[in-house]
Amino acid sequence: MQSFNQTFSATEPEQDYNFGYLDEQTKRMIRRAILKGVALPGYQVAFGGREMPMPYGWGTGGIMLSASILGQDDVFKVIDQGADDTTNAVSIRQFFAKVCHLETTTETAKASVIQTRHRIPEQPLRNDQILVFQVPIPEPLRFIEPRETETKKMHSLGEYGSMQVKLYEDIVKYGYIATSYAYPVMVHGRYLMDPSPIPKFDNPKMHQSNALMLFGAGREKRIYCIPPYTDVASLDFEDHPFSIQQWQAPCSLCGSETSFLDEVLIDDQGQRMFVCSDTDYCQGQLAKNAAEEALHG
Amino acid sequence: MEPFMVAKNINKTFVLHNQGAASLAVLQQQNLAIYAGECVVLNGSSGSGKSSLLRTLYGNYQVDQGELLIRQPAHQQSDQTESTWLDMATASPRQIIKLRQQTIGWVSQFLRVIPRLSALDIVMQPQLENGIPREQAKEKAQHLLHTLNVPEHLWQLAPATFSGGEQQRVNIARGFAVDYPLLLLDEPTASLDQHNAEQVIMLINQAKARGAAIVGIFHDTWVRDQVADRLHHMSSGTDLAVSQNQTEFQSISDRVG
Amino acid sequence: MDNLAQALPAQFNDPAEAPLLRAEGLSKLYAPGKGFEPVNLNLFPGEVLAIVGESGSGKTTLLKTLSGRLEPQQGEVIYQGNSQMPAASLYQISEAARRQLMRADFGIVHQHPMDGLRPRISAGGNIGERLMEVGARNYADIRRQALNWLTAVEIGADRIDDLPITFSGGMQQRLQIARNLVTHPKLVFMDEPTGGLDVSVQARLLDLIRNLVTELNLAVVIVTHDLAVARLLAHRIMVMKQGQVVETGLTDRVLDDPQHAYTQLLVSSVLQQ
Repeated sequence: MQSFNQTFSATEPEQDYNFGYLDEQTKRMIRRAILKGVALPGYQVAFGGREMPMPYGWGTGGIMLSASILGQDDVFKVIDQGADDTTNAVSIRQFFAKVCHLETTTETAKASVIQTRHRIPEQPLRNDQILVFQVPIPEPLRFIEPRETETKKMHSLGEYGSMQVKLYEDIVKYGYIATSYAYPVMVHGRYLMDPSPIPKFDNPKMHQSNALMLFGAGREKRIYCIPPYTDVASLDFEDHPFSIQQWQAPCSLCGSETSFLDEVLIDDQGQRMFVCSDTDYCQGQLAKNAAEEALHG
Repeated sequence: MEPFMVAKNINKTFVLHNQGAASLAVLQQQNLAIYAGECVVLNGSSGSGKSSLLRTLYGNYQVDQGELLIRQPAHQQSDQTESTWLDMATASPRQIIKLRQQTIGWVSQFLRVIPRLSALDIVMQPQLENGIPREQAKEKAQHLLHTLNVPEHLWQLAPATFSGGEQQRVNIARGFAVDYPLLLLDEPTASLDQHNAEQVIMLINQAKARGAAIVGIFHDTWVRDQVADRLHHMSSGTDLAVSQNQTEFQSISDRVG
Repeated sequence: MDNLAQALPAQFNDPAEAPLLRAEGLSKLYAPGKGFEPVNLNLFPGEVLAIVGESGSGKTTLLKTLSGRLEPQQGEVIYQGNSQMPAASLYQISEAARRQLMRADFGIVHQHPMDGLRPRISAGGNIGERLMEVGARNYADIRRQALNWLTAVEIGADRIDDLPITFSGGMQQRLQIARNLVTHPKLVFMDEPTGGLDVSVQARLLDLIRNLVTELNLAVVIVTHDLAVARLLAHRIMVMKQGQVVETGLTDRVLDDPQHAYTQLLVSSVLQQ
């Protein structure tokens, strides 16, 4: 009888690394943590994070999640601040291309697994897609309570009133809720969750999302999840309701009025332009515009 | 007529545990009955236990032996028409506190209050504790301070800086701010000039007129003569005065029983 | 003629005067003489109870156990907010229920104000947090209440957005009290609240506490080693020595006519004012 390893090497003779870099036992452990996280939406599940061939802060949490859920048929996309072409996104995409030999893409619609840092794609996700977030600090209560024992207790007893204090302090200082990213949310009416440093513009996209959303914090070794079609509510006050960012002008490139815009300095005189942060979406809009022009022009 | 308060065979001894368990008998077989509308003046030489007896009547000293009965207003729920009696010697702290709030007023020799409180607040406080509305309490406090010649510019100040006489008059005003059925006065006129002492005499006579029972210690004989309905003689040891009291008391005591 | 008083019930039987807090056979000993040995007590609405004794006598341990923060080895702490509410044995109900009860009905004033305040949150936020904890979600309303309480504890309204670390010790202590009282607790536990303060500031604070007790019908358990504080604030006093309650009763009676040797020593050691 052939041993497991022999079987394995027989099927993939040229593979230098195990599929997805992590060993099978680790992937299984992480998938179990994901299942637990899915069963308890918004709850932070501890898992045994592994050393990855890159430093913490480069997305190790997201990478471990991706590595555990990717299969040979998956199409993988990585975005960083909405862009497919930044160092972080390119490195991670190449990493998986190397250790998994799988297809990668920059098109949101084509991807089955999207790993992201700081954004949710503009294009609505489908229920056959999974969004993997890289999380620097998973604990939303850390701001108000430095003790881990205490935050655990607050979660278990659902004591989240003090989280409002953060928003209260915002209004005191700025006259409105100035928290613009990592804006705390209540998941399924039970657990308070840090949605990772996505802009609050993206918060409404988590509510009743078609896609499964997984959050991985590599340094703090925590996984939490939002299953598809789950209620996700942003905290606010009755007289200061939650609202998302708005811009004076549309995207300078594609003219979109509904996407999240980045401010880009374009010369030394302080000239600036506002462009879509989601590069794939922007290109899609441009192509659409061109097609329409061709049709009507 | 039933007395308002009856002290029966009161004994009080201080045991000083840290001084070789020395024991000081300050009250021995004290008997006293006090009626509504009268002023009983405790009379005796220094060290005869006047102050100790007064403090005992206020519940300040723990009675070792004897009974200290005070008449209670008829209980609202019960259809009892006869008065009931509470023995202060065995009453719970809460019962004593309630008595002090509603029934027994006290004017000590010295003013002892939270340092920063204004004179007006001090006089208003016992009224507020009885649920009297602030405005009404203030009016009465002002009236009393006025009667006792505490200058108006001092009312908003804390008495710590006042003269001894001024402090004492604030103290007296506080004692008279609520119409207690029983008033205990420990040398209230000691540091007052004649004019102010006369005002205090007037307040005492007014309180008697409304039916208050008063027990006091008065050093000045001329004050004592003007307020006292009778004297309660005190001395350490059994002398004639005590036995006189005893016979007098026995007849009262029988009537109460 | 004998025992007229026996006609009366031992306690007032007014149902409105049921004890708010009861401790029955309560004990917690870390080691012999460390902690406290069986304590029984009743505390009623509007009543101030002082626990006095020297350092290490078990006062603070007792306070923690009474206030739901330290499980006793024996005995029960029973809280009944009002006659409609069922009585709750603090250490037999779930932790969630206990914390809920403590948030809604208890206040805890620590000796060091910064132990009970959030240093990086504005004064208004520190007061408002308690309201938000019990569900307040209207900013304007939270702020209005915070402002009212700042004024009530004599902190200038213009300091509402300042951090407590910029306040003096006395102001911090008053802020801590405001934070505790904004949710209208029925029972407040104070551990040496005037401990670290200047004498002049102490007086203001005592005055404030006493007014609040009268106006809000608060019950207070105050731990102090300062007999003058106990005399001015407390209706009743409990004297502790090496984990044992040696004497208890009416404050002025215990202080003016102490029965136990230790209380006599304690009282006679105080400098006369």
